[in-house]
Amino acid sequence: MFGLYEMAFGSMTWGNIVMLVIAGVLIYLGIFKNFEPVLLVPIGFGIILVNIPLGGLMIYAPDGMPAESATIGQLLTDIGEGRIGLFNILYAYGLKTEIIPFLIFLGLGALCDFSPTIARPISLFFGATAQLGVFIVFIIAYGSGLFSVNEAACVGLIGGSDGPPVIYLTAALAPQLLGPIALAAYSYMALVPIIMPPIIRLLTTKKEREIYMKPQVRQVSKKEMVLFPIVIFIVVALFVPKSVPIIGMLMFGNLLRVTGVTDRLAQSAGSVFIDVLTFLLGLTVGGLMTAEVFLTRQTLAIIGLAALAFVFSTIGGLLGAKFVNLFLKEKINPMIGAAGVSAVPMAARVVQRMGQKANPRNFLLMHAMGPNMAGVIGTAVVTGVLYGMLK
Amino acid sequence: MVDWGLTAKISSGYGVNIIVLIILLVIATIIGKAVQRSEAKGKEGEKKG
Repeated sequence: MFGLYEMAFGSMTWGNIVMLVIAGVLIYLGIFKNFEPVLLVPIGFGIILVNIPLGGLMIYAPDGMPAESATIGQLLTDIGEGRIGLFNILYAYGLKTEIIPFLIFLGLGALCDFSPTIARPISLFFGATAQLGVFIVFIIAYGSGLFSVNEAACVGLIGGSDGPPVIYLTAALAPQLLGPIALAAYSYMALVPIIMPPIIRLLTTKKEREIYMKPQVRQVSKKEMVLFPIVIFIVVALFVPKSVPIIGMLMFGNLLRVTGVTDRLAQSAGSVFIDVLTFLLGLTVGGLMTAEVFLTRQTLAIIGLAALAFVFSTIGGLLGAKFVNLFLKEKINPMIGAAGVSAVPMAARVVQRMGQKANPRNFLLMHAMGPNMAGVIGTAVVTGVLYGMLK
Repeated sequence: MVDWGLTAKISSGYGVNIIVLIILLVIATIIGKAVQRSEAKGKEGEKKG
């Protein structure tokens, strides 16, 4: 009987065991430490699913990339004969075609509240300067010789601190690195409260951190809220046409949210719709992390570079705010610039906490939410710029 | 072999990003001011009426 029966024990490698431990850590961090659980739990479980040998969920071609069917007609035969796994299909039709990240932007837009950015448009400048980490890390990664130019751009984009654009660009330019890059992007986003404060303290004086800002941000009218996504989309699309899929979906989702007459669509896009896409994304990204693909020198480098990207983006945002302060009579607290790194709303919360610690009268949350949301726009623009240059 | 010319070109994307967002900043400011003014006028009109 056992001659016909094949167990997985004999095919387990040390690599598989290491990957199972990594998956365990991710699931632990997600469930018990609340580190981006919506992504880390599916990614962790996806890693388990593909690291139990003989499961056949993800089959790799000899070139190290997920196997694909030559034609759609061939697909069913390939599945039946075990040449293609179910994760191969999710990867080929969901990620490689960029449909999943593309639709996630719609859901994200429906969840985004841009009113703090509209109330204080200077926030857009901090959202731009906080993309510094993307380009510094791109230069370091490419200069190291470990990454091709396309791969380096995707590693750098982790500095945008926004997961979906990173996945969108990596699926297009360097799909072989999708697993480690997505993992680094989401893990470090959860570490923003640890990474940002020392950088902020290092680059600001106590006096700067104490700068008081009046708590109320001006009320934004419905007309402005409706005009904002339309105008932003048209202007960005004209200057950076390759960002149309990202910024278009993001702003369309946001328009659904603010019209007041499409609440049902906005609620669906921001709840069940994005949830389904998120766990498909998480599982597929986890499914890309088999031991042979993940346990490489490049993965270690990505983990180190991702931290650097976050550090430099925080510096960029802070310096942007300090620069603007040179011209303002009523100074702003430069810490709100650091929230331009996106990572919504964690970065803004860090600024709020540090602001209150420095000056208990300060309530910086809404001031920091402006740059925080502007960071989402900034990252979308940068993604379009990189896509246009490299694809 | 690292192509530093290409690196410089791609890094210029940071500048493009800043310019595009500054343009958005200017447009958002103008639209904000215009909408606020028109709404203030509307309210004044309502009060007079």
